Amino acid sequence: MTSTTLATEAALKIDDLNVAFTAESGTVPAVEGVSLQVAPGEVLALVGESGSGKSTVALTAMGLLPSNAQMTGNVSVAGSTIDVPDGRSLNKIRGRVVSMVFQEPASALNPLKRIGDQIAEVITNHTDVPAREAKARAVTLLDRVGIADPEQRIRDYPFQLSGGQRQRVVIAIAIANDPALLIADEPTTALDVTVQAEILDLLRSLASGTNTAVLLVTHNMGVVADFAERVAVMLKGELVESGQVNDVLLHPQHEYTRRLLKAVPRLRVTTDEPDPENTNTESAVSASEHIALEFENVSVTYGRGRRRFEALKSVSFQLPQSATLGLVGESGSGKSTTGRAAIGLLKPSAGSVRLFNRDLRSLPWRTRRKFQAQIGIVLQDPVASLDPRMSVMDCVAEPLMTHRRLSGTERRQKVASLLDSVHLPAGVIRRFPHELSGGQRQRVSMARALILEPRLLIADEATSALDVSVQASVLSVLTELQQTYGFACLFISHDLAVVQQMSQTVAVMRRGEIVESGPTGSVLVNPEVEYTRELLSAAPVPDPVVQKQRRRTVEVGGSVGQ
Amino acid sequence: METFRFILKRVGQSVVVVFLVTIVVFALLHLLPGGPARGILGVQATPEQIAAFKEKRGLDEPLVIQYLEYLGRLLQGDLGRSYVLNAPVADLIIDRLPKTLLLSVLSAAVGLMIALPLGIWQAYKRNRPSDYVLTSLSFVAYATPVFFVGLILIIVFTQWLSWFPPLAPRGDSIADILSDPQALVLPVTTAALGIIALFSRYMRASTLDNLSEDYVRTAAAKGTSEGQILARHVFRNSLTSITTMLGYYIPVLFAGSLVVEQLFNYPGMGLLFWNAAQAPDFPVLLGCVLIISIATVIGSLLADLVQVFIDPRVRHSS
Amino acid sequence: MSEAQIEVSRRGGAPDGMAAPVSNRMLMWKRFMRNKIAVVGAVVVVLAFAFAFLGPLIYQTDQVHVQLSAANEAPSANHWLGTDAVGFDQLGRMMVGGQVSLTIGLAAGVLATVIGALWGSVAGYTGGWVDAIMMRIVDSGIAIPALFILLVISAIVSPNSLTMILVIGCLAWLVPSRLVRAETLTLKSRDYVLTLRGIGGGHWRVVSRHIVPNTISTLVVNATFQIADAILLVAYVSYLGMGVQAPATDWGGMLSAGLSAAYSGFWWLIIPPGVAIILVVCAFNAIGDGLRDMFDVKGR
Repeated sequence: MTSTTLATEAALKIDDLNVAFTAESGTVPAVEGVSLQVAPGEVLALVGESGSGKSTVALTAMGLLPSNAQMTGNVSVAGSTIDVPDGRSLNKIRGRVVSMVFQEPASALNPLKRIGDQIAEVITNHTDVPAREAKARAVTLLDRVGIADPEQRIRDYPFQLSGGQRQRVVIAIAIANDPALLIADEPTTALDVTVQAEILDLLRSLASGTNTAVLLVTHNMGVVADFAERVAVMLKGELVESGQVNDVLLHPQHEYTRRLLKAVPRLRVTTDEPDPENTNTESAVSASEHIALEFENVSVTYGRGRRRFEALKSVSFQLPQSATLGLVGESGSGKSTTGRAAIGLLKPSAGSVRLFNRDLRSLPWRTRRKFQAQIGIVLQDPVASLDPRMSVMDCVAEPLMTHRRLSGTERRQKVASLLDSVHLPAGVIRRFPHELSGGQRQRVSMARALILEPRLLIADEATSALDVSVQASVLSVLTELQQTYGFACLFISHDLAVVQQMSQTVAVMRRGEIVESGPTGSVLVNPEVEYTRELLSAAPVPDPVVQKQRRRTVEVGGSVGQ
Repeated sequence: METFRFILKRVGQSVVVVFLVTIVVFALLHLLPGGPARGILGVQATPEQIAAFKEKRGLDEPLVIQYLEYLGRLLQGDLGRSYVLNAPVADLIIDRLPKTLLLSVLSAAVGLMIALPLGIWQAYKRNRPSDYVLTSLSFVAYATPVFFVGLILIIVFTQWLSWFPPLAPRGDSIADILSDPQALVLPVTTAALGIIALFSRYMRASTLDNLSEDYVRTAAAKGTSEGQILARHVFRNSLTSITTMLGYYIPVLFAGSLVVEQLFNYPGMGLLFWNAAQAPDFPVLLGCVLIISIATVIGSLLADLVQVFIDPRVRHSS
Repeated sequence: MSEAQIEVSRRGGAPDGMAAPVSNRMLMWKRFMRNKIAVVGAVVVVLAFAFAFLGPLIYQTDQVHVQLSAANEAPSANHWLGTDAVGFDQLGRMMVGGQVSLTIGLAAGVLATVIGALWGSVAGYTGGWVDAIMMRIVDSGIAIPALFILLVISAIVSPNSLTMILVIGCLAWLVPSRLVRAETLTLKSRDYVLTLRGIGGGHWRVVSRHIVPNTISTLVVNATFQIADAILLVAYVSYLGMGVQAPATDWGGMLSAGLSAAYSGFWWLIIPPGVAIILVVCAFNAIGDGLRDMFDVKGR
């Protein structure tokens, strides 16, 4: 942005903003001394990891801070001051001058009201139009956000729409009155990657056509590269760096920005690019005599009669000992079902699951337990993975308690050595899960999974809930441990870049089926199936130049396809 | 179609529940010292009378056969005969049930009309002095036995102020009862106070729960004021949980009317039941239990059906 | 997971590499103590028990022999709260009645919670048709109003404290069983339970190490409310003349006895037992609210 545009009235102007929350344990500062501006028509991305205060800045600009927040500094949107947290005078501004798109489309809409009425509400709030007129405008808006058949759909309730459609409705509400500033708080984080691409396309086309400025709050550098013009980086409540997207993403100045960008897993898009992370590519594939896990035409169905639903349809794959198989797919693709079937939590309705060349379900339970002791499991949610009432010691020792008889001291030594190998300080052994951060908790889960020195590790979205920098360290611990212990790994993730980094072979799943599988190097670089190509092109890369090119090829490809 | 299937399923469940209730009541009849013979003939019956009765009624037959016969009689509307009032239990109940329903529905309506707005208002004024005062009041009112409330009301309004008569209206028909509205004030107030205490608390909690939902934030982001958010969004969404609570509450409502009827001498089922308990007149007691249970099942079924109309998700999925 | 969620879940937690020195128990204790109403409730309960069980040691009265010559006396130096219709000292009667009310309430509340916990956890953990049948039974139980059944049973057997405890305990377990079932259903599908099942952990281990410890807080909170409800229920039954038999009594029975006297203006016969019931029930409810905040559990 040039200085001339800044000279006109800024869409958003934040001057020395400080926000603190009063919590049970005292006052916690969330934002400290942040100043920034967004010019009309401009797209500014505010990035940072959890706890950086980026969402707090967004809520402040909406005047939606909770009542336990104290704020100092000046915030104005298109000349109107926003100073009282949660104030009433803001009702004339909200939805007209400034509006917001939220992260969770599932809960952002009132479940009991028709979407047409929910869109009309923002119109009648600010303009004196008859209900009929507002409804007509709602139809136009639905059409504008790309919902087909808008006259019919305005009578729908939110639960009748998909996640992406709901987010479109939220966007329709946000743009209804052509606001000066649109705040999008992680607008695509809860969505699948292909839906994310559609929503980003929509936001981009809406923003480019008008004078509306956009404040995009996100943790995803790919989204920043895809959409934003300028970027501001936040760390622990402070703004550490800001500038043009190309400058910041390609030549970061601040040490934190550099670290953050380095931690982002990058999808390799060409074969000639060397892979710095994945070191044991060749060695493992050859050692395929010993199969750790094998699926043979496995189907899983839920429910009966009319509600029968096939979660897995004849899935087959082999996971050799010491190798890693990456399982990717969007939500509902059946990848987690596959993980659960692998550990025997779900009974296949057809086909067989073989662990270490044996069908566990056919074994007597004593032998079966012996085989189950050779499995390690790490699941997604760092909060739900550990029993809140057990100390780290008890959590990690639990597999030992179920399978081995060890004395207390032996057990303690074993747990301590495992905690050490996942790089946790010895002191955490007596702590409780709620005292640990998300990354620490996932490492505790990993220590628990590995304490019996398993031959197979099932990692279901093991790092998906973590910040990128934490994810990077957890992934490197996982790679390191695999080299030490030589276990096979079923690595389930929705993140193509992470899967590419972790696994030698990959299987792409969609609607309960494996649509494509093979060596990671070929499937994720030169896919043969259209769906895999779609997935790959939908995932934005954190390089603005490359991302612009990719988008252009997609757009060209798309128009040719039509 | 989905709605129809849902309703059908709920009705089916209710039938199962009613069926189980009949088993419980049948079991109670056989728990009586001396078994159903003594229960029906009365405590003063001699062993000879009991033996004769057993033979005549087939009480020496296996329990399953007896139960089936009992069920058969129920289906014909035969609930046995009151040996105190010397009349068929079914007739007694048919005479009294409408009066109890009148009292219950009236007090529930009055109670809810006060409780719901009160709960919303408290949520709106949350953590301010007026909310604290009302919350404390409902807290105490919830802990106060209905009969104690009634007693205090009687002393204050009939003894000291003489505003209302101490006895409920008497009469053979609903019309008779309604013709004396002044005498209805105290019984209805007594029963309604408990409802107000309980449901203003529910409504406050439910409203607060809904206020913390994401869609409320979306509404605020549209520029909708808090009052409008309460009226347009939160009220209806809170009603869904209140309807469910109301379904659960029906047994309590009947218990309340038992006490109120006894206290004010109101000629409903509660009074019938209480008099029967003093006697004791087992056919009447068990007949009342059965009918009240069925009424409760129907009530919670109705609550669920109302839910279907409030919540489109129930209507379309489930 | 969204940023907001992580921020929320970290409340009381710590960022990477930092230690949070506050212990779990200290935090919970602090939370309870800050809820002043709950602390007052706890004090009231302790005082009520002391009054009923230790009071007679200090303030000795004859609660066995009727003394009609001293009936319906107003409060005086000899009888601090006056005497009732048959000449019993009213304050002493409050203590004796309190023993019955509190014992029945406490024991029945705990019994109901225990039965409900067992029933609900078995139903929830087993699932399938066992669950369906068990919960239909609960549905039918809830459909039969407890007060009515209680009166029928009182009409069958002349009630004493023990039968009252058993009967109330066997009637009031329905609501806790629903709560515990719901809780068990959630816990059963928690990631840590799935992980344990996946590596071959048995049902016993899952139940004893994860399900039970995690439902304890719900149970404690519920038991407190159950006690309050049981005290009220006993009062109702006694008021309706079907409670423990004379010369034993309880606060509800005293109210019932004082009913006719109320019109004569003998306030000391109804106000003390009425206030005692309200106070104790309020106190238990307040403790329940405090414990619920402390454990951060849902329900009621």
